[in-house]
Amino acid sequence: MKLPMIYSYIKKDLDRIEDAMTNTIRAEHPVLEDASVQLLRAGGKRIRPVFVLLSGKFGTYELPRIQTVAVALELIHMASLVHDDVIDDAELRRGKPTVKAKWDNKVAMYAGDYIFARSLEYLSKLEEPRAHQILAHTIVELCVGEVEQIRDKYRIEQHLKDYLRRIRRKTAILIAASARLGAIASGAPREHERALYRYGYYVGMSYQIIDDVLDFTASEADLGKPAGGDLLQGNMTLPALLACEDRFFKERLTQAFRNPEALDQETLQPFIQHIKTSDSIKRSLEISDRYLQKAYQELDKLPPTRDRNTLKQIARHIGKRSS
Amino acid sequence: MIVLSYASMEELHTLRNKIEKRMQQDYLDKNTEAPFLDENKLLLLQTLFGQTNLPDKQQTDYTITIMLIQMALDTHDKVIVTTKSDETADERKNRQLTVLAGTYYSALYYQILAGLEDIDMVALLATSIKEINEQKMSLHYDATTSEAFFKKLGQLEGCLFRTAASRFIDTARLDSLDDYCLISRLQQEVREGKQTSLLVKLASIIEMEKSGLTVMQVIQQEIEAAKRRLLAGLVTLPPAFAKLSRKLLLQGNRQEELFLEEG
Repeated sequence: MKLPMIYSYIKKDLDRIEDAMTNTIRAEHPVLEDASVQLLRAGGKRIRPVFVLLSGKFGTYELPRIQTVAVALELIHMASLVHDDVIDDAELRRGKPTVKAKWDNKVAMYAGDYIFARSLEYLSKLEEPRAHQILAHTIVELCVGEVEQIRDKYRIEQHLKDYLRRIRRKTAILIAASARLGAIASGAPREHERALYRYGYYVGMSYQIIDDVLDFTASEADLGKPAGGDLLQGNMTLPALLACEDRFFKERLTQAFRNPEALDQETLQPFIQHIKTSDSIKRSLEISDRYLQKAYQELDKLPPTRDRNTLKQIARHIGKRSS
Repeated sequence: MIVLSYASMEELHTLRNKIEKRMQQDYLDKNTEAPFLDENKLLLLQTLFGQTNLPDKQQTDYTITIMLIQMALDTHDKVIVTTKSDETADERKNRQLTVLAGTYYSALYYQILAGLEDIDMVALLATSIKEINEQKMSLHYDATTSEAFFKKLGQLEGCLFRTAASRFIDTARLDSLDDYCLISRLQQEVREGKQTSLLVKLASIIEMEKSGLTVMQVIQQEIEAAKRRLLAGLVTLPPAFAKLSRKLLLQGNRQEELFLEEG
């Protein structure tokens, strides 16, 4: 079953959110407008709004209030993507030209800042200081996570906990915040809010680990970019870290990383091949699965509703996804 | 920099330290150029909040917040327009961290105001950031004469201050402060003398205008023109802002500055 089928019963609300996002990023300057619309049209799984809506079901579900959070969170995510493309010098995202590729870095920076500002402006309709404090803290952590990712590039000597802390900040906490803020916006009981936060956190960890696995195993067509891109950028993701338990592999990779400017798809091919054929993919998926199990346990703390079941199916889908 | 009394300098120094402390992030500090903290704008904010009945701590928090936004926007302006094909590893790291530093300062602004539970101010300043980015796009794409370029730049530089001020005082008489902000920005560009994207854009306009002047000559001319406009607008400014503007206009003329400071 495809992911959107799992939550098809909230499609109408998701469409409302999509419309609200389109209206929110309208800009006066035509280039800013085009860049923002291009980003929006590039689509994406919209997984954060889904978590906001479903979490909102555990309290008093008032769409306008929940929508405020869902729109703002997805826009914050979009703003971070457009800046990430400048950071990664990416030409393509989901197989389509990035804003920085179609225009330039400057336009991408302005578009990202514009969308971020619009998201805060939009979210300010929600007079719930705690929600703002949580989100603000999350955004700061997200930035620190990205800074750490750059700090740790080409650094072979890393521990598993370094990687986990990085993906926690990079991915998991925004998904966790989505689930938590949905609960807060609907006034769900605190214990449900906590369970939803932890569910989002564990699902987010699993999601990122699988993303990192797919970067090695998925086809170029599915990824919308060549496989092994993380390693090419010097990012030590979980499969690469585990593969480094093989001393020979580690020594060769250390040597290759000594001259990052000489790295290209061809020189990295043997490393990518080694990772794909070693047990590091399987072990990465096992770690991802452990996070999923924890996510399921958190769901057991929630009332047995259709929405709880949907959250469980989403987690299961994430664990099995192949693109 | 405007010459101040010892007490004012102490106050400014303390505020500066607080801002720098708030921005501290070890890895960014070590690997990126510290953003320029425009003390003229800092003084402008001090003057603004000095007109209000806000408690001292709130004045300081607002000042830090607005300066963080200013530095976030300025930092993102430093990102190179097109990534070089032969970019070195150090250049790449610098580009990447410059993007993140700007975002980090923006995030701090939100964190401070969320901590103060001041959601109205979050909204107000977000509106200003939105407008500034619209104006930056207009400067980037639509300015085809140096006159239009400086006009847009002045509006852009004054936008954040004007928006913040609108919450506390009547801004009808503050229009000439755009020139105050413009002068400060242009003086900074002259002092640094770097090939910033702003100057690259201006150079392309000047080339089209065929005036035979260099970028620095055009900037110097504009600084003088903006000073004349600010001087003419002094009568309409509220007294505290007029005093501050006079100090900026007398910059470099130490005798007169001291006379002014001593009243």
